[in-house]
Amino acid sequence: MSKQIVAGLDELIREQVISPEVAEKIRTYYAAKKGNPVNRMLLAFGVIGALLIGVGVILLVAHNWDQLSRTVKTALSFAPLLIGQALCLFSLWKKNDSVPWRESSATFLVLAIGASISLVSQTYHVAGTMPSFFSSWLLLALPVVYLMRSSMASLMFFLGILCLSFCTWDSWSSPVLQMPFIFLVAILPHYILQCKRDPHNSFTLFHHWLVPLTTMNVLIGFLSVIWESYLIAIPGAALLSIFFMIGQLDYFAALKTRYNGYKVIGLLVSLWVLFFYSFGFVWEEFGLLPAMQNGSIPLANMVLIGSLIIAALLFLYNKVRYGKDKLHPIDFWFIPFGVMILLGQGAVLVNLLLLAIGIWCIIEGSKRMNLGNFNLGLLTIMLLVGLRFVEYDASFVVRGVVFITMGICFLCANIYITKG
Amino acid sequence: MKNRYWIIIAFALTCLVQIFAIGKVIYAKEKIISKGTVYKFDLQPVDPLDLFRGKYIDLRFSSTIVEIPAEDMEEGDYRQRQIVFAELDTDSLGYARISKVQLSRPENASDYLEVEGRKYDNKWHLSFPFDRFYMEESKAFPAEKLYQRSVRERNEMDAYALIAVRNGQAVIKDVEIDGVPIHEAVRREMEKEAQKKR
Repeated sequence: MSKQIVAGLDELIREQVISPEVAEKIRTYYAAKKGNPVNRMLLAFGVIGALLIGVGVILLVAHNWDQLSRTVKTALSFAPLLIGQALCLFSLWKKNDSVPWRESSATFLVLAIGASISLVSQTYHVAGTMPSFFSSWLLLALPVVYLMRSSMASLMFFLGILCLSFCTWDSWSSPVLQMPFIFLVAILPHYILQCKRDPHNSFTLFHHWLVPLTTMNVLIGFLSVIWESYLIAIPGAALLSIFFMIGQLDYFAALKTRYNGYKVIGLLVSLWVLFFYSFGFVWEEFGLLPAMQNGSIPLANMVLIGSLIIAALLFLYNKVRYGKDKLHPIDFWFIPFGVMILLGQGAVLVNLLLLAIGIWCIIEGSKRMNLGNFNLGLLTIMLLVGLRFVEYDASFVVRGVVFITMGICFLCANIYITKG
Repeated sequence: MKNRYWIIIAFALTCLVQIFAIGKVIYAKEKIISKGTVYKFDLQPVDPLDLFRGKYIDLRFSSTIVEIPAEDMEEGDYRQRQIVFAELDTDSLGYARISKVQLSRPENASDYLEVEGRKYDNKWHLSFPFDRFYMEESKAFPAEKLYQRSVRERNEMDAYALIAVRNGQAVIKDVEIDGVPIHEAVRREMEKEAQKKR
């Protein structure tokens, strides 16, 4: 897009639409936005190099060199760490303004911390589960992310939290489950700072996918105490609505959809949850929570559930107040859905809710000539009808006719709206 | 500029914390190895994989379940994981044996282990804090095979771990099969295999 604008500037000057000064300003703006290509290459190669070397060191360490004595192994445990620290200190001292230096050295140091912990673990046969290994690694790497102001280190940190939360899903003891949550809270300020400081950086854009994914995984993992009940869907739905509303904030709305993980995850996972709960068997298999019947849900979980619902309501209030015309059903689906969950036996109501969302999207899409919304509505309704036909016993002829009719309707509606 | 110096100072402190954290583990382990008492723990090895730390032998001990005497039945939460203290002793064959499990740190016991325990079926189910013995990747699988053969041929288990114990903490010194350190036993076995092939 920017290339086309810059290419058309000469013509605009010739036709006296804009002055040469304005044209120069536009050129300078796009050049600055794009960044120095040499610097970007350096950054990419530096980070990839540091990543490869760091991973290589970890793999070498994993060989377990039993020819080396314990003293040599102990001395070697510090080697990757000290090299990484020296590189980072050099970057801060001499190359503070060089982003490639800071990013590459921080990337290497984060991996070197993992290599050092691994070496000590091997040398002394330290017992330890994956969660405790990742927790030590993340704890020592956290200050590196902040002090080196490194987006790549932050990206790796989020990836680490994601791995940690996957590892802790099967361990039901609450202290372990709290670790990913604590790390997430600790790193989020850096992410917010980074969004403000460097909004167009590729690493920042990757964050917009990894952060919602990690948050979703950590919070759902933290709530695993109510996992076996369909109640988990209430805070889950609130979280997804929050994601969707975050994705519609001015900052994220200005991004291309492929960089707006909040909006895409919020929308698609919400629909997935609704479709999942539209099946009758889900309501029969999941029950109310045994812990809730005994009145023994831990306080921390109750606080988190409450906070998520309040946060979703506040986001919604804000949206109703300042952007009523942009309101979308995914912004508030957690409210009717939550009521259905509390009522129990809500498969029929969830089907109606999905139908309402589909119809709203079609009406809104055709009103504003928004093909994306329009097709989303159509697809929702078609999938809903399709799933119900799969679930309920009907003859193949009836199913076939229904699907063909739906296909024709879909095509006709699209032709109608594009001709508009 | 001033801000940059603060960042460098903070980073230097971070470096010290990182070195201290790793150094502290090394120091504690070295002290147990040099000053602790060594016990033989009966075990059953297999060779799983840790993506970051390589191959290891999974140590499964035969002495992790301890009967609870009637008078101690009320102690501790039932089925909850909790930190307990296991007093150590040796049996007639020279293997380590848990003589008593209690909730408070023993004052007179010569050696004990600080372990995670769970009360279940009138027994303490203990998880020892040493369950991995890392080996060079090429040797972990032969080590497992060697162990399996020693069980099959002699119909008795002669594989044990040497554990140094001090003030409740423990470090694995070595794993031995038939009195030979496992590294050495595997090396001999690999040499034999190579000779057979020739």
